[in-house]
Amino acid sequence: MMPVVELRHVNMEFQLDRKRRFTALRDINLEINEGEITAIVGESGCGKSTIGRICLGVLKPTMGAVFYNGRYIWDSGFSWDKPTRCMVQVVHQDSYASLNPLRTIYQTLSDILRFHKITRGDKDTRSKVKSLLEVVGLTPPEYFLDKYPFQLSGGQRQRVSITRATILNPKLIIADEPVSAVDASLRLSILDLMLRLNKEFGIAFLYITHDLATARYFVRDGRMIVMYFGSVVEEGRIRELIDNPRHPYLHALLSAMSTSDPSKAKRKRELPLKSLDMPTVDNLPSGCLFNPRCPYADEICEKEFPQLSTIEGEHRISCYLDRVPRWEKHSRN
Amino acid sequence: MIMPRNTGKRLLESFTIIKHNRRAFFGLCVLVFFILMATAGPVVIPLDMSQDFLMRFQGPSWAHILGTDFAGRDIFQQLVHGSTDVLTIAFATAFFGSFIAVLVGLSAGLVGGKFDMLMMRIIDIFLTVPNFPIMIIFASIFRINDPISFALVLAAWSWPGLARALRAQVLSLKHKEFVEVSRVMAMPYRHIMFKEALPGLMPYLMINFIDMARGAITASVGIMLLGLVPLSVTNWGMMLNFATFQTGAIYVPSALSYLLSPMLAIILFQYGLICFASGVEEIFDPRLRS
Amino acid sequence: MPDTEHILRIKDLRVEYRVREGFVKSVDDIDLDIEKGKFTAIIGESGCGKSTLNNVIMDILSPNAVIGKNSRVFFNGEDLLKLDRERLRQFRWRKAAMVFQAAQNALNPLLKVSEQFLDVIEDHETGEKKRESLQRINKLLELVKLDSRRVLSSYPHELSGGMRQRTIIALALVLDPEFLILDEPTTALDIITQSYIFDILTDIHNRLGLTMALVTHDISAAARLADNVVVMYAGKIMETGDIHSIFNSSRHPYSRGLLNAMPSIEGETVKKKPIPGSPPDLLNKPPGCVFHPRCGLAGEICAKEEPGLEDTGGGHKTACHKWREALP
Repeated sequence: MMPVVELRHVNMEFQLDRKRRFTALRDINLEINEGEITAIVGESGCGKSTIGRICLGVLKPTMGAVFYNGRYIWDSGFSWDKPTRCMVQVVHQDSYASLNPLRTIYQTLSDILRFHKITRGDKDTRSKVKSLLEVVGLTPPEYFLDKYPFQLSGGQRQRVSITRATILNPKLIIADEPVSAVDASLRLSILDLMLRLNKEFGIAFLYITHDLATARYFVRDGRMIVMYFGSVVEEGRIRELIDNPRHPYLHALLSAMSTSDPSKAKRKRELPLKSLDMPTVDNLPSGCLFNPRCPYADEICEKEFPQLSTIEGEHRISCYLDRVPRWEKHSRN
Repeated sequence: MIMPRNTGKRLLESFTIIKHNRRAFFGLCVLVFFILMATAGPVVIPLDMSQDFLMRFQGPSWAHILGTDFAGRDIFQQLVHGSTDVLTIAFATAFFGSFIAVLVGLSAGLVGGKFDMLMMRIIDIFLTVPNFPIMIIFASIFRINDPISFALVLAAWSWPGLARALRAQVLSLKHKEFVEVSRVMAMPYRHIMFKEALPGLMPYLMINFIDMARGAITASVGIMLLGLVPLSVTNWGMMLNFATFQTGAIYVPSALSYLLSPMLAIILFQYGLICFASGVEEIFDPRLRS
Repeated sequence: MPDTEHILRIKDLRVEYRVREGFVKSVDDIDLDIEKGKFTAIIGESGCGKSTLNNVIMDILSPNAVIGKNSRVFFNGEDLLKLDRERLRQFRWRKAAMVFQAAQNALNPLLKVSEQFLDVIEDHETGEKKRESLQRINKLLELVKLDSRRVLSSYPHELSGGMRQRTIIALALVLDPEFLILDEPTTALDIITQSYIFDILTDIHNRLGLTMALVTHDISAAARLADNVVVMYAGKIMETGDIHSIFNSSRHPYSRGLLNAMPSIEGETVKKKPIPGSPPDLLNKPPGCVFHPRCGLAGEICAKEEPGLEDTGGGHKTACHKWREALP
């Protein structure tokens, strides 16, 4: 079975101004198979959204290849046919910006249905739009048809974005921080909705986020890729990564996350980091980009960029050191 | 209920919005007033252009509502008869200008690439070549007799600025998420242009529409004075010009209404347009409805 | 008469916003006390009224807000709602200061950081000499773990988001206020920076003994920082108490639902569940208990009568008719 989307040795560079080039992504290899849920986790600026846009086919990488069902989409001979173009859809973080603010929910959804000739005539279209809204829990659907996006709550808008993404029966939905702008208590219901779509329709998801907790909830048995400043630092099954993180950066991320248990949350913690500053474009560290902040950094870390190497099975990290201690979940210092 | 093809209901809803917005409603009334003046006015009110110098520079009276001009002719009659041309030129220019600007600006912004570059060069040419000399050339080649062709010529020189601004707006919109989603859903450019991009640009277009209308009135005076177009004495701009510069009305106290009438007519017309425009914005952008 | 125990006592506070369709009761006749020297977290979803509550205290409500006639907001015994403009100006920033949401852009981009600090000090006519001011500013920057040499001479855009946020916190402390409110202080910041700022806030609280309040929808931030918790929903207070009571033995179905709806990096994912339904339309609130349409314990009385805040022991108060039934 061909992977739905595959990235091979993808590099992405942006020209900042005449002198400087910014490397947003470095040697990314990624395979998304049918029905899989994969998370890309990292802080802002790590390149995760850029990967999303490359997977979406709207951004051409400076180097490397992007394959849709085995077809190389940036090939000179390639031209988009409708089924291929619609195979990958997106749900953005900002639901306000991803819905046309001047069109009602009905108009936004019916435009697509009509143009793609999925329905014919007003009656048919109306009933299809209503069922689309019901699928995502927007009931009664009649209430939402004539509303404009600004009249809906963030969670409701996000549901509309999600149902819109399913209209063309995509194989993969790129969810870029889909719940970050939604109230914390409503996040689960949106994630549950996406889980249901994954189970019922076999839609694969690429979940891009900075929040490990929601990633853990959503991805379940799938894989996670941890990014730092454009490179993959650790990847593997999410359960394995959270139980047994090996890269110091992942240690730091896990330490920084709070729990909802006050006695645990209040325990004083030292983040295993030497410095708080992220690297900037103008002074990129040599060798491993994480070495200025890594408490275990050694000489070799400054010399050369570590390649991804396998620890066990699918669990890979990009680090030289064997002596990075195991991360203890409950002893934060 | 909004069904895209059901224009009747949409008009009714639009009208309700205007009705609720006091400024816009006022604007609508003013515009209706002027349109009636332009259409029915000349039929209802006769134009008597016979000169009677004994009656010159009269102030408002029962016989002459707005007084008389330098030749003793009724000002109100002239305004009414002039309104037809003025409104036609103003609206037609603004309409043609906007239309071309929208087509060029939107397509250049959306399609990009070489097409965009070509359009930008054309716009640049229009913007740098001075209007008047070209218009003089135009006028000598093509006979400009009626307001419509006059409007076309004026429009030819007002569209480039707007086109460029629209293109800039489209470029910024292009990267907005909802446009990206439309692309990913393989929606055609025509849909993106008219259904996604254009409605957001309507407020901007409205303002420019008014500007063009206003500019057309002024430009028409200049062109007439240059003798490129047959002089129309009842054109408001022309009347204002006569009153201010040609006939010494500014020195005659009783001629105040001669001076003010065309001025106020122009101002009121524009103000009506502006007020109405605020309501139009609301029609296109539901977020502005209070 | 100033209360020695509570820095802020709010009685019958009602704030409504005038909109075209009517009045939106954003804060609905609530009573609230904030203990001196403690860190109180006010948690709730968006629309629950916590930001409005915040704005009332700092007097930065929008023009279409209407405060109820019986509302009282006592700060150290003085009713803030009755203060005239001059007294309010003295109150703001000297007695109580605020760190806004997404405050990183609250710094004037055209002024150096040092100038912004000095401006604030000067505006409030403390009569302090510049040298003394600078000494004090240095100490404050140290408190928020910023290098004053680097930060003071920089412009805001030269600092990272985390550094700007810490600068804002220092700026809020510059007049040595008695009370500091933080409104979602770490939105738009990375997890690691967030964690660092939380540590700094705990440090400030411990070292200065400052009364602090955090307005947030992030339960884990509250868990980490707060001593006391106030849970709000649709303009009403659902539950108040100390943090361990609320988090470990909550007496309100909404709070429990909220705690259960937060995914975390440990524990069983399967046990997490969202709260069914959605927040009510503030123009048409449900009768009786405002949470009852979504509540699994709701009974007849819940739809008819609004529950008042009842003391269940030890200062732990809840607004629920059925709280006894839900005890583990």
